[in-house]
Formats: sequence, structure tokens, C-alpha cells
Amino acid sequence: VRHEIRGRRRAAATAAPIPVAGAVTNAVPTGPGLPRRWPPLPAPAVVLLGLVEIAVVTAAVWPLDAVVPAFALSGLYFLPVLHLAGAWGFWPAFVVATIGTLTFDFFFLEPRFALGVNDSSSLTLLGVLLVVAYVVSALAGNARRRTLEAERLAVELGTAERRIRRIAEEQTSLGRVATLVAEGATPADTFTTVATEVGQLFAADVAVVFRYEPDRTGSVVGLWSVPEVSFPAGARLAVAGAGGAATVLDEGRPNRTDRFEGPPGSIAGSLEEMGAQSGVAAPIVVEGRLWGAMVAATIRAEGLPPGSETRLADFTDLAATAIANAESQEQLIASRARIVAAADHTRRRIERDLHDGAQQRLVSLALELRAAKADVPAGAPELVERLDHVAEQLVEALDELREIARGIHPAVLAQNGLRPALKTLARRSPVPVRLEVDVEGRLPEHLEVAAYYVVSEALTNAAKHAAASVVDVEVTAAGGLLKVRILDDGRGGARIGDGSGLVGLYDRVEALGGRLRLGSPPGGGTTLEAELPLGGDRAMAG
Amino acid sequence: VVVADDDVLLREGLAQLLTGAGFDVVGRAGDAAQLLALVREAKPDLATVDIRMPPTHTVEGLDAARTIRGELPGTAILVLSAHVEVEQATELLAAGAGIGYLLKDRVTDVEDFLSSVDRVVKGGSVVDPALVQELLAARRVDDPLQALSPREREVLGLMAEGRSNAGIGHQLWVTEGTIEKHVRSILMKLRIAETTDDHRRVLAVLAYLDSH
Repeated sequence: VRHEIRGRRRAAATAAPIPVAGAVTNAVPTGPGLPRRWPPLPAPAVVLLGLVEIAVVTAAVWPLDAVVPAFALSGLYFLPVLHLAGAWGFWPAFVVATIGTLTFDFFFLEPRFALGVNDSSSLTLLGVLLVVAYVVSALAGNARRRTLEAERLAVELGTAERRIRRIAEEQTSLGRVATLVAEGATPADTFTTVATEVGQLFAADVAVVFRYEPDRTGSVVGLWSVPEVSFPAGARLAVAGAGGAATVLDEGRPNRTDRFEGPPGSIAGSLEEMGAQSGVAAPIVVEGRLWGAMVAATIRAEGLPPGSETRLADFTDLAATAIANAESQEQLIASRARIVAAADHTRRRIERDLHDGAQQRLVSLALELRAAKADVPAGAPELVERLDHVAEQLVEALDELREIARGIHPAVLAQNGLRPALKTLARRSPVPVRLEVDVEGRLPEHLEVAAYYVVSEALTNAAKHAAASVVDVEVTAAGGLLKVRILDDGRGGARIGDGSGLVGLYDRVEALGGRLRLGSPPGGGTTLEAELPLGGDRAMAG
Repeated sequence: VVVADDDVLLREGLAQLLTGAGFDVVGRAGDAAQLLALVREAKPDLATVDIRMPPTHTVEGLDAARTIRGELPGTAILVLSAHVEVEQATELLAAGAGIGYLLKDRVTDVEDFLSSVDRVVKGGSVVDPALVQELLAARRVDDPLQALSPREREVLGLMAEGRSNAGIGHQLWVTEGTIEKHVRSILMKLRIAETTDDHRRVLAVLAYLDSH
């Protein structure tokens, strides 16, 4: 087989010039280098045609017999031979060459009107004539065979090229979708792109991405169509009837449908309604579960090319990857948010326990101690002194406890909001702070807490590492974003991840779907910027 | 006096302390609702209020104080808090004179605490020294307080705590006249309008320190 293919390739390479454009359009090759194509005829008809042609030649040559030497006239008999050999091959030409030679002998060589010759030179002429006629037949027949071969190769080449081109287009299209998935595009964008790519690549009239819902319905999550379709993107359709999504749901594998049929309001029914003749469908399987399906259909009678269903599966695999990515991303964000929320909750509880429990108890103890001191009988100054000492220690313990509680969770944040909490931070900062807070009213707690910790960490760093002389803090809530910007005039060179606590901030901000940026060129001060989506409710998870 | 605190030990300790100082404790409340009911019934001269009480343990005491001030303006109110915040202080004091805002820890220094109670009952304003210290200690860009002498800063702090000129003089062992001179100088340097009303002066000084 391999040899045959290689032989063909060589033949194709050496064959007459093949017009590539013509081959691509699958037209019959009719370039200047190729003869006209003659209709196939049964052998007797060809021989009969040959006889007629010989008769015509004989009639045409007859008047010239007197003026032109006979051997010169014989050349004209090659015309029908050439014609037949070129059009129908060697054997009819062979027969006609023989008959032509005999005819020439009959009419133009002595004795006239009889077969046979008088002299050896005439015999030689006839012999040469016959041999040349056979050779011409063979050559012309061969030429014809090669022409036909070349034509066939051209057609085959065209088919192969079309196939390659299709594969290339498909790969490019898959590549575009894969890039989109790799870039982390949202599933919604991916679905729209997949529908468009499939629709255009398959020359379909409609391409739809469905997500299966629990009650045997499907939501249209991606849609591309040439004619108007009766359902919009986002519509929820019943998965019923025959063909497409219903078959995928039942069988879980790619399939081809030659006829869509379904009740109104179902996927198959809607496709039937728009006149879809045939289509293919493939499942979208995300981590082992049947997530949805993709359907491509056409209203053209010839349907979609064979193998479209398996090619469609390549696209649904990519869609599945996009979904799996988005889901794990979402889970990661949700789990981060839960961890942050749980940590905040714990800190708040500890702060409350310290203030309402330990602190109250210490204050009561101190009061009791004062009372006990009052009851000490006169004449025990040492005891009074010791009690005073304990009381002083208690007050110091209370101060310490208050500081610890503040560090764990700023109660003022929950009680009075972001602005007072930031003002307190600014007042307690060893580096002077210029504070600008442009926030109306209260924000969701998780945002206030995040903004507070961002400012707190930045101020701590400015004081500890930056040797800054002033810090500007700007907090604005506008355009759906809470922006926190802290800028100092210190020595810069800070990095996220050098154990400065910025890593924790980074996690906290990311958990809320926000962004944290650090700009800290050596000698150029440090800018820490956090952007948090105001509408984000992710942190409320858990 | 009506004492409100959700912690029984502390409530009793505080009641005892006040009783020992000659006050008549006419009611003890464990939450804001009880406090309001008792105050409406007994119409005391003073209510001491814990800022964090059930059910939410946030600022129930502040709300109760506002309600009492609205209904019975003659009742002096002393709000006790586990931690002191400028915002809460200015909010409370804005309701008028005869209001105090102190750290709970202050009760351990009995004499000092009783003098604060006394000032509030007499219609004065009391702001916790820790809060005033925080305001005074804040680092500022082009700090206007740099223009003040150490003595003047001391006087400014005592003004912010709500003390009268006489009170400041007593505290610093100097005559009221000397204090008056200091006060005038401070207010001029900081461009704060002069007022004869001690309460308005506290508000002005707090607002100044908070905004600079």
C-alpha cells in the first residue's frame, strides 16, 4: 500500500500542471494542458465511429490521388487513429489502424480495389504504415491513460487538501477556545465562543450549549445561529423528544440525528420548528458527571459532514475544562473567604471574651481588693502595702489586656465603622498620617475589616521598616469598588512574601475577589493599593 | 443612683462602692431595657451605664444614654466602657452636659472615680484621661500642638477631660487665675473660640484634637 501511495505521489508530481484552485473547488480539470474529455462509448460504437472517420478520410483523399504520391496520403489515416487512441484508448485505435491500413491498400495501392500488393516497396510502405499506426495508438493510448490518472490524482489531491484545510481550521478554532479557557475566561464567555466557533466551522445554522437542570430541562448557556431561533440565550427548555440533547442525556455519548422531533418548548421541538434537518450532539462531562450538551444543527438537506459528532466532542471537552476550572476557582475563593470569615469570627469572639469576661472579672477583683483593704485592721501596714501593690499590678494587667484585645479585633470597627477605626489607627501610628476617607455610611463588615487590616499593616510597615516621615491614607468607595491606598515617603524595597504580614493581607483581599498591589521601588517610597468589589457577597459564604 | 451592668459581680461591686460613698443606689439593671424602666420609675440623679450589654453586646449603653437624655434631661449619666473611642465620646457628649465617659478600669481608683461621679452629678463633663492622652499623643504633620508649652499641653489635656479652670488649678497646684491665662493662650494659639461654658469648651477641644 505504501508503495502504491508513493508511486501515486510521484505520478502526481510529474503529471501535467494541476490547477490547484480548480482542484479545490472539485471542478473537472480543464486546464490548457489537458484534452477534452470524450464520453465513454461501448467498443463496437467506437470501432464504428473509427470506420466512419476512415470513410471520411478516404473520401477526402480520393480526389488528391492524382496529384499527391500515395505514401504521403497515407499519413492522413493517422488522424482517426490518434483521435480514437486519445479518446478511448489503445484497443479501438488498434482495430481502426488495421482497418485503415487495409482500406489504404484497397483504394490507393496497385492493384486497386483489391487487397494485396504488386511490389515489395508497397508492402514495405504498408508494413511501416501499420507499425507506425500501432505505435501511435499505443502512445496516444498511453497518453490518455496518464491524462486520466492525472485527473484522478488531481481530484484526490483536492479532497486531501480540503481535508487538511478543514483539520487546520478545526485546530485553529480549538486553539482559540483552548487559549480562552487557559486565560481563565468566564464560562459564559467560553460558551458563547464555543457556540460561535462550532457554528462557523461546521457551517451549521445553529449551535447551542446547554446546561442540564435537575428536572429534565436544559438552560441555553451559549448560542449561535444564522436564522432567528425561537429561544433566547438563557432560556430554559425541556429535554424531551428525539435527537440532540435528549439522546445525550439518555446515552451520555456523542450522536447524530437525522430528524429532530419534540414537543413545543423542548430543545428538539424548537430545532424542528426552525426547520433543522439534521444535527450532531455531544455531552459536556465535568469531572465525571454529565453537566450539559452541545448541539449543532443545519437546515440544509445534505446535513452535517460525517464525523461531525466526534469533532464536536473535542469542543465539548474544552468547554468541560473551562467549567471545571471555573468551579475549582470558585470553590477556592469560597473556601478562602470561609477561612478568613472564620478567623475574623474567632478574633471577634476572643475580643468579646476578653472585654466582657476577663476584663470585667479583673475590675471586680480590683474592687473587691479595695474593699478588703478597707477592712484591714489598723496596725498591719505591711498587708496594706502588699494589697496596694497587687491592685497596681491589676491595673497594669487591665491596660495590657485592653491593648491585646484591640490588637486582636478593633471593637470600634464593628461599633462605629471604618472612619473612626481608621482615625484611631492613624492617631496611634508612630508616623504622622494624613487620612482621607470618602465613604458614605457603613459598608459590609467583611469589607470594613479588610480595609482596616490593609491600613493597619501598611502603617505598621511604614513605621517599622520604611523610615517614613509621613503616610497618606486614602479610602474611597465609588464605582462599585472600595479602594484603599496607602502611600509613604520611606525607603521602599518592600515585598509581598518577606514575612511582613502582606501575604495574609493578599489572601484576605483575594478571598473577597479583590486585588492587592504593592509598589515599592528602592528609595521611592511604598504604595500599597487594595481594590475590593463593593457588591461582592462571596465573603458572606460561611 | 441606678447602676446598669450585665456582669453581676461588677454591678454589685459598683453599687457597693457608691453606697459606701454615701450614694443611694435605687436600682440595678442587667440590660438596657431594665435600665430604662428603672430610670423612668425612680428618676435617679445619676445612671451609670455599661456600654456593652445584652442582647448584642455592642453599644446598647450609648443608645440607652441617648434615650435617658431625651426623656429625662436632668439625669446625669456616666457611661463605662471596656475600651474608649473618640467617636463614642463626642457622640455622647454632644447630648449635653452632665455626661461622663470612662474606662471601666477607673472604678479601681476609688477616690478618683468618686470625684468623677461627683463632677458628672454636678453637671460637669468627664472624658477618660486615656482617651485624651491618645488624642494629645497622636503624631501630626505640622503639629499645631508644637506651639504649646509643656504646661499648656498639660492644661489642654485637663480641659479635654472636662475639668473647669478651678479644677485644673486644683489639680496642678496653681491659682485659677494662672490657669485662665494658660487657657486663653492655648485657645488663641489653636484658634479655638473662647467660651465660658465648660461643656462647650470640652466639645470644642475634642473636636479640634480629633480633626487635626
